[in-house]
Amino acid sequence: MKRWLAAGIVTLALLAGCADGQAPVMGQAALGAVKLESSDGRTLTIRDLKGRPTLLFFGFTHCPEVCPLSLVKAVQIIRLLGPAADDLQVAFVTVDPQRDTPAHLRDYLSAFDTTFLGLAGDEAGTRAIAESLGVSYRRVGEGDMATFEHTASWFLLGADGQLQDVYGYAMSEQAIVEKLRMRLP
Amino acid sequence: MSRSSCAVMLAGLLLCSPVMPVVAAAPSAHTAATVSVSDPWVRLPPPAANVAAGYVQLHNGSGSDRLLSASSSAFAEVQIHAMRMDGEVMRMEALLDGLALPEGRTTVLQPGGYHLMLLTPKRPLSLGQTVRIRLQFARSAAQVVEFAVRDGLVAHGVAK
Repeated sequence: MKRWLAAGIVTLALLAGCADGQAPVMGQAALGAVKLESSDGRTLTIRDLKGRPTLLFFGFTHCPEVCPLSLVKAVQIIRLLGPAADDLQVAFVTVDPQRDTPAHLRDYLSAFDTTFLGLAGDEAGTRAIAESLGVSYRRVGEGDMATFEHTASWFLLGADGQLQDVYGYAMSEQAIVEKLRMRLP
Repeated sequence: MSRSSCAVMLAGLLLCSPVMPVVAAAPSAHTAATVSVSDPWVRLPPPAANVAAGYVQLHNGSGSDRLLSASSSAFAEVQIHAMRMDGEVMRMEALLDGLALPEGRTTVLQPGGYHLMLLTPKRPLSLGQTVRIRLQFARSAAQVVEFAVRDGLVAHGVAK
């Protein structure tokens, strides 16, 4: 009896694990369904960022070049925008939630701007959000030495939470600022 | 030849012999390839980052050569990486066989391309310091190079 009970519990746990690991959130629904832990201690979805326009990036803190340079670009964009940036929020979704905890994201991002928001989900949720925005990423290597290939664009979400624009890695901060000026209120 | 000088020679030979396999394993000592190193620097990473990128220019004066590997006591591991943009996706590849240094050419490790991936600094890096990185080549002699830590992130300090 005990053995059956134990087997049952294990099966349930496995099923629960599967359901959790392959959450059936598809397409745009992921943006409102996937819960993320933020670097300022909240639990929120991408849709919850609405109310203010948001520049969104997908990266990881063990990234030697593209992520820090993209974050520096965001700092410069904000400086160039001046008062027009007052309402703009910048969010960084980690594609490496195993290593990038919300607290670590806060420490990392504060080197750029203390208002930058870090967001960490689980593996499946992060994947679902990324796919809904056309972001691709892939882990290369394992453990401490793992690195990620990833889309390196900035995504502009409007105050209504909808995707408005995408700014590629090759775009200069000046070019992005010109585009943003047309988008921001 | 006296018996004592003979003994000294013998002792010398015996002392030398353990070195021989090392010399044999490094044929580079006899080849002409020379790699000259210029502008070595490391981008100061954000304080909470666990990784940094190193850049350098390697001019190969003669004979084909390869940068085989790099190591430093300041980091847990140093890898040679190639980075490229594939559309909007940044792709990175560890070059396990090293990086070819064609004869008469300068191979540049620079932002947006090849770089040394410096993993897990033993101590936080600071601006202005130098870190020693040993570059191992296929033919040229290994070189210990002082990389200057520079602020390659922010041109005029983080505003706001």
